[in-house]
Parts: sequence; structure tokens; C-alpha cells
Amino acid sequence: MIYLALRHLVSRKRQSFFTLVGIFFGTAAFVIISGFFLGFQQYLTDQLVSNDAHVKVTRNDEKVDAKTIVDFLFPEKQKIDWIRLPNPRLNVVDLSNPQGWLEKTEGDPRVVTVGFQYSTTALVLKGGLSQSVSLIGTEPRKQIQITNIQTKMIKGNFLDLDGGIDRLVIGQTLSEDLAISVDDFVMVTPASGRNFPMKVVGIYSSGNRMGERGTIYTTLATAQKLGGQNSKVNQVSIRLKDYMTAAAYASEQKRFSKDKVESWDQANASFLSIFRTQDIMRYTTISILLLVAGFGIYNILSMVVVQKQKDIAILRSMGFGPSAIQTLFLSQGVLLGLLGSFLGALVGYVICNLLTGLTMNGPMGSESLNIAFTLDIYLNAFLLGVGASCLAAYIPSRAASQMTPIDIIRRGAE
Amino acid sequence: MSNLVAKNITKLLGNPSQEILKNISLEIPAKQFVALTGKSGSGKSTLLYILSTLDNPTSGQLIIKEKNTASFDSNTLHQFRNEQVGFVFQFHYLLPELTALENVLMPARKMGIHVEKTKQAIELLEMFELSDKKNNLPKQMSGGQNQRVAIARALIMNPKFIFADEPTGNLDSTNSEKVFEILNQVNRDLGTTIVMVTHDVEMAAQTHRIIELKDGEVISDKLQREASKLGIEKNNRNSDK
Repeated sequence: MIYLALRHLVSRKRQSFFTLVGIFFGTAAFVIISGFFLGFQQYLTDQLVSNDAHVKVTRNDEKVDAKTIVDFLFPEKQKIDWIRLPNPRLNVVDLSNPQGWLEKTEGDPRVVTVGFQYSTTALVLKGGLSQSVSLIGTEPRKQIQITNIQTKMIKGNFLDLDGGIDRLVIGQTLSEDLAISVDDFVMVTPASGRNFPMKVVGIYSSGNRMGERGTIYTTLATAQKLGGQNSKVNQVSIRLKDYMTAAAYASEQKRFSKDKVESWDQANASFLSIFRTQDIMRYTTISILLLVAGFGIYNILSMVVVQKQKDIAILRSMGFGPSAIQTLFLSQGVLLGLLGSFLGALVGYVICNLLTGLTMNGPMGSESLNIAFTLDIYLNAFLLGVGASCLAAYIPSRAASQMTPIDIIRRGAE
Repeated sequence: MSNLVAKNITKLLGNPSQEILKNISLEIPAKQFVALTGKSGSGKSTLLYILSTLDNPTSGQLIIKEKNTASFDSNTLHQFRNEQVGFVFQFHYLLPELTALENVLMPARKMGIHVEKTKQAIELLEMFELSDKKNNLPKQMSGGQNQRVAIARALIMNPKFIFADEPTGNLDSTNSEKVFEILNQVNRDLGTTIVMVTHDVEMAAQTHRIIELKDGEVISDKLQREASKLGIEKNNRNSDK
């Protein structure tokens, strides 16, 4: 029957071609749209994952409002008038037991590196110009494992921070704004108001201009000294083997700690929700395309079944059963679907390759488009294309199989 | 031995239902060439399709070679049509996508024996003076040629029966004669039982038996001559070889 199905398809070349084109476009669009969106998502995820720790441990904000205090101190009083409202939170941001985290993570096969951070706000002054920054004290040897800061260095080496005291790594934007170059001395003024002269040993460029201007790095000890908080730590940064397990890891650790444990994807939840919106958009667009293509197949095959009634009658009179008739028409849709989906995936791949060659001026500077090429996309596109055609061909082919030869002949005779 | 027995066949059709066939009983022995005649609306085509198992009677029995067709399941029925029955229709109903040879071989495809049957198909086309047309599509041949291809197709599985519904109804007299002569030849030489619906009185007169229907009833059943002894003798001679 497939032999006859092929002859049918060849005998109406134009119809077959346009049906094929429908499925072809649907599949190609799936590949291109998916490649584009998933590439973008992968790129952003890579940025998020490599620019920051996979899991961050910080102090839980414990806020205490006036009512809680009243209820606790004066449970029997109806009304309390405050002369001055109490401070809602403690003016401490450091972790109570950072060493505990070191012990807890030691020997855990999921953990690659654990590093301490102490950060504080400060002003950077150079030649009468100033810029407020967030000063992050890290353990440089660990930090370069926790994030990819080392690969972002355009001058100097991140590990140079360890070469002496009071050393800084600053962002490219800040270096341009304040005309700072490597080996220059700048004045750093933390909240305490004291001035610390510090030497710039390196400049990084992350592509994020806000970050480059507002974030500078030093060693943990230096930051603690500037903040006046010796041996205090306000963040534990954890690098995991597999960043996809970060959320599960964070949730697990949260149960055993009063600290705030947050994975990269939990911290960027609002950001990641954009991905979900994109996915919905992607699938909606593709569903509509395939629906249109499916309707094309459905329409044409329904028409063909009506046109071919006499052929059905003659085939049935030769002893071909209903299932053979169904195969005749179903296989036409399936063949078109297979071929269309295959060509669509192929051309989609070629177009994706061409798109990769395009460069775009984005926030991260001029770079080539990120297109995803995962096998998943191609498998999904192919299966969706074939599935839509099968479904669309099934209905008319079923109708054809249920026609009886005698009804067709009787109708023809009338 | 009766090959094909119809017992009390009644057929209702339409809404409100009309009795198209009224309690028809007849026997058709092997190798007989039967003409079913009657005015249009007499029920002769309906009877033909019931006798050929393409249609079911409302009541009554059809017994073919001592087997009641009501006991056939659908696969047996399809197999039976494929192997035992050849159809020839008024509108020669060739598959337009296939060449003459491919059309002839189509029934053999059901059993996947179309390669083995190719030689026989070419012989059949030669017998019907169509050997030069074997690679032509139906639209590249005349109506008479198309009908001869259709008869070749009906014969490819060496059926015991051929059912023909006004096989010459759409042909001019020359082609009609040619097609009828072929059917005659098939009946004579191959011993195939033929039941043919026809309007043509002259043609009917050349068959073994004329059954005339009117308003769903047999009004005359005339045996003109015995089924050709020649065919039987010839077959016997063939089997002796």
C-alpha cells in the first residue's frame, strides 16, 4: 500500500509539495526559535553561574517590629506608647559561625570549593574624583575557583591581591571614570571615615558596566580591617560540581541552619521566570505553526479521500481490507511528515549555523549570537512535526477505511 | 454441482426502506455464463453485488462452494474476494496513478506475489492485444483498452468467479464486441463462472442463461444451452498434461 501511497504523492506533485512546505516551515521554525531562545537562556545561565557562587550563605535578616516587643515585654498591657520606635534589626551582618560551614562542607562530594567573603561599602577617591563602591574581601585562591573572575582580568592577575597588604582589583569602568591604571594608588574610605591608601594591582572587565563601576575586590583580611570587623565573615560562597543541583543543595542546607542559604537560581528567580515566559511563547508559536501545517495535511487528505472513492471501492473489491485503505492514506501524511520534518530540521540547523556567524552589539560588547544546538531541540522538532502530520492524516484515513465499496458504487450509480 | 446458491435473498434499501430484492432463490453451477437483465431499478445490480459478497442481503443466505458466506469473518471475506472473485465494472475503475501492467498486478500485491505474477500479467495483456500498452497510464488508453485491462486485472488471481456490472455499458459497439468476446473466451477456455449484468439483448442471447428481473423478482430464468463442454474438456486435457 505504501507503494501506491508513493504513487499518489508523486501524481499530485504540487499538493504534496505545499503540504511538505507547511510541515517543513513548522519544523524549521521550531529549530530556529528554540535554538535562539535556548541559546540565549544558556548564555544567561552561564553568566549567572560563573559570575557568582553557586550557593551563597548570608546572615538571615532578623527584623523585630514594635508589636513583637510589646507582646513579649508587656503582654498584659492594652496600649503602649513609644517615645521612640525601637531599632527593627541588629546592626550586624556577619555570620555567627562561618567555621561551621567549612566543617559542614568538608568531605561533601558535591562541593568543590568553599570561600569566605567580607564586604563593606566604601568610597574610592583619586585626584579629587570619587565613586562609592562595594568592597569585597575574598580569599583570592578560592575566589578564582568559585567564580570566573580570573578569566575576566584584562590587566594584572587576581592572585596578585595576595602579594601584599592593601591591594585592590577594580573594574574597567571605574578605571576609566577615575583614570586609574595598574600600580596607581587610590584612597579608600569605608563607613568608619578613616582613609586607607591602597594599590591597584589588576583591572577586570565583566561586561556589566554597573558592576565594573561599583564592585572592587581585595583580600578578606584587608576588607575586615577596613570594615573594623576583625575576623568577621558576612558571606560563605560555595562552588558545587554541578550547578543544576544548587537549589536542592541550598534547600537541604537551609533546614539545618539559621543562616540564609540561597542558590544562584533562587537568588535570580525573577530573572529565571523570564525563561518560563519565553518557553510558553516558544511553544505557543510553534504549536500554531504546526496546527496550520496539520490542517494543511488534513484538508488535502480529506479532499483526496473524497476524490479517490472509486479507487477505494476498486481496492476493496480486490480484497484489500479497511486497514490497507487506512494505510494508503495515513502513510501519505506520515511520509510527508517524515520528509518535511527531516528537511525542516536540516534547514533549521543550517540557518542556526548562519545566525551564529552574526555579531551583535549587546551589553557585553560585540559578540556572536548564542544559538543552542542540543540534540533535544532537533528530536523534539522532528517528533512534533511527524506527530502533527500523523494526527492530521489519521482522521481522513480513518474515514476512508470505513467507507464500504458497495456504498461508493451505489452512490456512483445514482 | 452448484457453485453458487442464493436462498431467499431479500434486500431492503433506503429510508423509508424499499424492498429492492424480494425473496430470490437461484443456483448457478460452475462454468456457467449468466446474464442478469432487466430494466434499471429492477434490482439486478443489487443482486450482482450480493452474489459477489460485496454487499450483504437483509435476509437470506448465500452459499458459495457449500460454505455459507455469513460465517466468513472479515479477513476470510477479503481473502475470498482477493483469490476467488474478479470484478469488472461499467466505469473501468483503473487506478489512474498506475500503468496498465501495474493495475493488472495490483490484486497480487495483497499477497505480495506481484513479482511472481508479472509473467502471467504480461500474457494476459498479450491475450487481450494490449502488450504494447503495458506501460501506459489509463488516461493514455481508450475506454475499450481500459476495460480490457480491467478484465485482465480481474483474472490475475485465477478467480473462480467474475462479476461484471454492465462491462460494455460505456463502450461503442466495436469495443463492446471485443470485450464480450474476451469474457466469452475466459469462460470457455478458463472455465470461469461469469455473472454479468447487461442491458444488451443481443449480448445476453449469446450467454448460457438469462435471468430477468423486474421489481426485485425473477420473472424469467431461461437456460439457452449447457455450459460449454469444450471448456471442461479443454481443462481436463490441460490437467492430463
